[in-house]
Amino acid sequence: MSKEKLTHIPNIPTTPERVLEEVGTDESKEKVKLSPEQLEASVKELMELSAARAEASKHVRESYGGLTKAEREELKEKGEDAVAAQLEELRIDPELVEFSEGVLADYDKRIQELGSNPKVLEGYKKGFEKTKGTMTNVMSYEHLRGELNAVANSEQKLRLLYEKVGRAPGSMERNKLAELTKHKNDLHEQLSKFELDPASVDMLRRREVRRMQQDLERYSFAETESRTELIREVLPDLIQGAPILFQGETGSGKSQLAKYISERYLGKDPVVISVSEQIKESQIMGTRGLEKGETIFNYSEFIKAQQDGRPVILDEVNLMPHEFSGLLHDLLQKRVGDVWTHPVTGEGIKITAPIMATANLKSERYKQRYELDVATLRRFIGGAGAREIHYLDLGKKDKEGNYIAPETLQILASVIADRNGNIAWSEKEAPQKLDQLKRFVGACRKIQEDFTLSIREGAEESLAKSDRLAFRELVITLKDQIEIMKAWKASGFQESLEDIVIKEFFRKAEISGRAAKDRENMVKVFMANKFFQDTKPEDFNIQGLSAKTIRQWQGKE
Amino acid sequence: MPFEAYKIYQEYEPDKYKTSTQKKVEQALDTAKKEGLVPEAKEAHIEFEEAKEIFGPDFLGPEAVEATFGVELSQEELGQIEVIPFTREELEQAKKLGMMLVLRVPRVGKDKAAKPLTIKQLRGVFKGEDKLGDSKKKKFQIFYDQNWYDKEDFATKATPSLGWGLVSKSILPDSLGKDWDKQEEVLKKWAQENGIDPAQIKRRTPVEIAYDTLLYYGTNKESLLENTWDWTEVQSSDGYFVHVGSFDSGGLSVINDARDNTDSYLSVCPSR
Repeated sequence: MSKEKLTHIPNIPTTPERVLEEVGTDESKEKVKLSPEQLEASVKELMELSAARAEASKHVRESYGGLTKAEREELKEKGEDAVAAQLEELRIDPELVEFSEGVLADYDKRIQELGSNPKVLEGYKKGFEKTKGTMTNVMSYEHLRGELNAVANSEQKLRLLYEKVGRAPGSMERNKLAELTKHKNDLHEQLSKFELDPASVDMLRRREVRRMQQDLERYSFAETESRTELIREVLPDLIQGAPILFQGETGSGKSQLAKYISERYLGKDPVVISVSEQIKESQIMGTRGLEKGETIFNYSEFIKAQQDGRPVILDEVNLMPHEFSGLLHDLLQKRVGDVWTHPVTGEGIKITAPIMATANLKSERYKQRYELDVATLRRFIGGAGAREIHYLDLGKKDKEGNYIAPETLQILASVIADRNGNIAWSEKEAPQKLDQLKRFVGACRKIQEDFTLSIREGAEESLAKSDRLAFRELVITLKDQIEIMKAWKASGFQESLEDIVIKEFFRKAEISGRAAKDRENMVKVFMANKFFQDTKPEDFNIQGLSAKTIRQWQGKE
Repeated sequence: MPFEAYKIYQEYEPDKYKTSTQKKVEQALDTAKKEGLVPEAKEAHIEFEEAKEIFGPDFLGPEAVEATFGVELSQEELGQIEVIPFTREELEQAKKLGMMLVLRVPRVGKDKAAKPLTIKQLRGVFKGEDKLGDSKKKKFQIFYDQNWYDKEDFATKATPSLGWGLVSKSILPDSLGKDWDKQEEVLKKWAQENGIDPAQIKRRTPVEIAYDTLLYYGTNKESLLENTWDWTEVQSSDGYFVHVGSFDSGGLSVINDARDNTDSYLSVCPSR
């Protein structure tokens, strides 16, 4: 790629320059003579501090409910009472605010000390320029990849369109499609020739981690490769207003996926309706009421969403009572631009967004009762589809046949990393921590695999299979794994992962003896993954599971 | 020095980003090979012992065939299989890709008792107690109790051909949950990513799957395709495409499905 085409990154003051501008230079450090080794170490420290400062600064901003520095200063000028009122309103512990402000001040002080030496600052700026060069390269690369994705999406969308209308493209359309294909091939070619050095690859990877963190913060959802592929497949139809059904095990992320698609790709906050067997007609259509002595009709959230062009997510649609099937079928057949007539008011409501639905996979025992009727299912299949959403990485194995969980690990890595993509593991402890993490994910995977099979085949049947364990109610979902990782990170990785698992999962799942057998089986799985070898039996606190049994599992009796 | 988070998962996507140096080395190697500067191992055929060394327990040769299916090869047949039709380089790569090297024969049983090795025949031979696996972890049965395919040609007539095959021991994870045609793309992509000519990659036939799975089980006491299915390009009489798998304690199953169907366990194993 030629220099002229590279993305431009504007010149802005570096972090130490900004800190020095704010707090001034420390004159006592200005003329300190440093040996070459000391200089190198100081520059390195300054770079690390500047990178980490961003996180500390973010914590302060968050603790003030998103107020910028200028806004915080303005607030402080109003006096202590105003600050206290703000914190009270946000329900934030003032001690935590003090702590985060103290940490940021410490960062600034050390940055000031180091940056006040002109040689150190010069060394830092040289390093920063180099990083900027890498950044330029990386952004150009990402730009090309983004363009390739956009072209691939357009091409797929057009092909789907022809498939839908059931005719072959004419000569003019064929030309357009050929142009798109050529453009796509050109971009592939450019990407294959793009020069990436190890520093650029490192930065690309770190940015990947950061994007995942941002997605998790904003949408509570992380778009991994398999989910991207799924979204790419269903999106063209969803944009046309076709309905979709996501069906899968509990905690497989169906509802979150629907919300994510709605917010990120359709640009609208969805209206989520939790369907139950007790749902009333008024919750779907609306209710009559009185206003100023006149009878009026208040539309339900469901209808209002249709009016506002917001997607509707029907959670657990399979629980919808059959008397509403007709209404649902009618709506599911509408597409963007169609008009649906409200059966009570007769008002024509223009359809502008799709209906997205989720359904839990039910165990064999309850299947008949909760299964979606064929007519409804057919309407989803004729729309954007009825897709099965399973736990991430389900069924994935490496070449040796061992279970692997690459996408789960990608998400969890981003959870335990800081905003620069680093994890606070020392070089010495990293291999051991990594091993712990992989064993943890391995255990969760096994539990998810067996839970899925228990649901599909019935728990008792699963028990009969020698290497499978039955799980009836409890499973460790991705969300649970994320919470465990957050707690591990918060302990500075000082607490052992197995203690965190006990505290964050087993203790929280103690519901007066419910799912005791599931928890017992989970202990077994974790032990098979070399966890809990020395855990005291009473720490599990599982009804019916004797200390003797645990000691036997641990090989101590 | 902190630990880079991406190092946790980057091993699973080795080809996502390649540095210019890596690309140049690959190109230079390709050119050198084309110009004959790097000796191709293709001509020099590989000996049984060398193949055994490369594959270890994943080498399923004449001894394994005799132990599992009771077939003793004649001198003429041994001559036909003497040359393993893959180079050392190909075999080493295959091992790394999790494949096994299988010798297939068209019959089951010894001498005069030998019969054509069809799925139906195998089901009869291995009826009753599991005598192939680990005596401590026996399956309830080797073949799942089914009779829908009793009159199907793929089960009553088709036998493996005498010769060597390379087969992936596990399914391609990307092929799960895809319909038959999309799986074809996955197979093609897999071949391209591993520098193999896609035309050389094929799906196994139903009898080959049954043969390979039982041979591996008999030899290594380990079940392949335990929770998954390998989808073939062979159609049953109703036009559906046959798949074989789910080799759990209930035994190996044979089912069929429309090519546009998808299932989270329906997948494919690349073979050559």
